[in-house]
Amino acid sequence: MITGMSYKSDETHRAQKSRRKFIYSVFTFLGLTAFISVLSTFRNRAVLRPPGALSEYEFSSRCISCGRCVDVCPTNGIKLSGLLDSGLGTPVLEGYCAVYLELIEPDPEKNLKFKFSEGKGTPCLRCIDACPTGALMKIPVKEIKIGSAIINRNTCLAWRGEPCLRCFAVCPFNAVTISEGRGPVVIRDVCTGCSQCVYVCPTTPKSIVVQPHPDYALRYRYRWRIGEGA
Amino acid sequence: MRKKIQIVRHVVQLIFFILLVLVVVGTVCSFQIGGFQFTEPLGAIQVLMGGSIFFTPEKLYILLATSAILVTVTVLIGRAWCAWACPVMTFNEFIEYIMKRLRYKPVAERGKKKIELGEVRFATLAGVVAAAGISKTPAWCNVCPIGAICRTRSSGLLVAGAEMLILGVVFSANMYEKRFFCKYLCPVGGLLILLGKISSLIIPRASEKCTGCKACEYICPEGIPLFRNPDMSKCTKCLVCYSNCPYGAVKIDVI
Repeated sequence: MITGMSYKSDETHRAQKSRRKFIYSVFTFLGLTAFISVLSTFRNRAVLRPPGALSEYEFSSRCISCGRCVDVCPTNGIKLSGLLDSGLGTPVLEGYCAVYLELIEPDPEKNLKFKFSEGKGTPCLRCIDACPTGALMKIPVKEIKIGSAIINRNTCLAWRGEPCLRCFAVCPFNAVTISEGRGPVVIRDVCTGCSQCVYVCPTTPKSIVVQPHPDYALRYRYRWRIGEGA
Repeated sequence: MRKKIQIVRHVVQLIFFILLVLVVVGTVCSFQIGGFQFTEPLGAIQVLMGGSIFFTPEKLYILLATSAILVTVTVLIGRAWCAWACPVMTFNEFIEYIMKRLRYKPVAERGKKKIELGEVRFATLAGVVAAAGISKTPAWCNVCPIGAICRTRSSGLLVAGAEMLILGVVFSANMYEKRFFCKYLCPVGGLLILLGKISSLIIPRASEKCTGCKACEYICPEGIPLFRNPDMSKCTKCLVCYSNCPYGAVKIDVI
């Protein structure tokens, strides 16, 4: 009689235990799903992505922050953003993008020479080849849109009457022109946002900065879907 | 011989740790050595859940092919990845070693009543897949300790605050119970358990010498009661039972 009772209470105890385990699982499932789903909404940011990044929406839906693009970048321009700053471990372009193998160390003279022999450059774009999930897609070099440069005329040496124009010389895409013979101006449609001009700008803080494209959320979304871009 | 196999395992772990964290192009999530490419299956599943990869089939095939490597290995020999290669397990075992040297006993081992979490890792796995489907991003990758331990180099070792935060959480969970993260929470472990259900190439078993002293259940990092010949899909093939059985009663069944 007594053993029977103890057996019964043992069973209820076990049932209680397994019910408790089930509740732990349910709470973990709901909690984790909610937490990381909310967290990942912070991924969509207006930041400079490596070249070939799709629309911000598609980029963050594919990037597994594996860091292969970081490791292959010859200029060390790509960095994984920390969790606490924007981007949640996804890669951002902090330095500059060489775009062409010949321009891995940008230098106005070298770039001028390079521009004269136009069309012969070998695209670097190793980050695109390295990307395992297609968050960075192969697109023609001229289509790359990382962002576009903006010149601060108050601090720019050329606009203040001193000889400089290093950004004009270095730009591999001829996106910087001289306005009215006075100072450099960026043609926003031509600028790819490779940031080489930022690298060579002699002023501190930099008088030329690259800003993310205003419609960064739609960078390539439509184009590559209909198969033109890829 | 029985003890030496653990040294072999630690050497293999160290080699993998140096390879995955310091040498290879990329991280565990996806890396390349020469022509060899590897993708972690859970990352691939999350990208598939995101959906947009189906628009670019050539990348999809590469992703599936590279993530098939670990899947195949796991289907063949079970969850060996965890105990032989995963950097977080190496990290946790290192912490465990230090705690042992400092004579610190994890809270759960002090004979008090501990919380029995059961198989929460399947819930985390389901949560990871669900979150990837809801948010359409590889959401787990944001907080994954396995990625974090590898990303510390890419984002500049100790400056990477958040990575250190994640590792700190994993580290302090060890103070409660050794290998807490691997044992209860890791969704990759959960996935590998599911994949390894059918594997039967290498399985530790209790031989006739077994006295049923239950030492294996206590020694085993996963708490598998080997003396009862239970379901072995949780087994990480770390062979700790083989090395530490007081009666030498554990045999390894190869096929």
